[in-house]
Amino acid sequence: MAWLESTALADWVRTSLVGYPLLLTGHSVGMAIMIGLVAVVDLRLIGLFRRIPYAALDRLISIAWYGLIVNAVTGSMLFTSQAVAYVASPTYLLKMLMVLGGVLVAAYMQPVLRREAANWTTDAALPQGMKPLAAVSLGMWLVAITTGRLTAYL
Amino acid sequence: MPILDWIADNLGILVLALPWTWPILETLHFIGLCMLLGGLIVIDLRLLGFNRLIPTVASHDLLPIIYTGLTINTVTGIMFFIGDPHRYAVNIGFQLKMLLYVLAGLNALWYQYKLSPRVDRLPANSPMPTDARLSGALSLGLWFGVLIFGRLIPYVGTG
Repeated sequence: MAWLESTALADWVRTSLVGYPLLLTGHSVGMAIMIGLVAVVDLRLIGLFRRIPYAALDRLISIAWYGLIVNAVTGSMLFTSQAVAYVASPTYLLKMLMVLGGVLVAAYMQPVLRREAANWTTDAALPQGMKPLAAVSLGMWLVAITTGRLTAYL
Repeated sequence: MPILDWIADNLGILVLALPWTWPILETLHFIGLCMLLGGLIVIDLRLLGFNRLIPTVASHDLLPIIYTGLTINTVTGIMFFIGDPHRYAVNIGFQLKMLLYVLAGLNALWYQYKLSPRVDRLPANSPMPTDARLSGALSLGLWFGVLIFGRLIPYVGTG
């Protein structure tokens, strides 16, 4: 980690006048896309927005992945600037755990939605466990936002 | 400016009194922006012709979450301003953000009162009229602009 912090990239992120602000801004744009869309999917599965067909949800997750890509890239670059402090921070580690959990749930849900959602004509047709899973996803993303923001106060 | 002095002296303490208030407000502001933009992306992309499985009328089911996010962010945003009015008032990032915020609001009114009544009556899968597509594109551009300039506030010039 100390080596990572000593790379030219880490130095640029830390000291360049534009590097850090632009990466942070990109990271907030990616967050809005990823979490905003996954939240719509989760809330629909839980029972809101009832006129939106279940079959439309898998395509929303497809767009959400673009947000995740933006945030994996910008997040990795931001990480290099203070790698030693980040890996020692429980707040940061909890954030990464929540992001990993949220990503795994979305990656599991998308093929299920693609295969089966067209047959879900009513609320009751959802497979067992889908609603609780959506609620867990929503909870993990809320914790990820909170711990992510608080990482700035370490 | 006297009004900024008055806000800072009389109201600022409400926001700054406790050390955890500011990070909590920031966290709420981030949660609110995800609600606002998440719902808007779905409605605006639908206007641009994406995901036609969603009837435009059905996409309006998302308005409550959008307005909830907007309310959270307007309230927390006002509290940020109250806490540090001199810094925000002269900050170019904040000024541009507020300009885009007003334009985004006007675009939303145009959609809601002029376009939506007409668009909602179109049969399923019919192509979107040009003005509805324009409004969707403007909405996405303006709101992401609000987010971008907002995030840059700490890093851009003050005056």
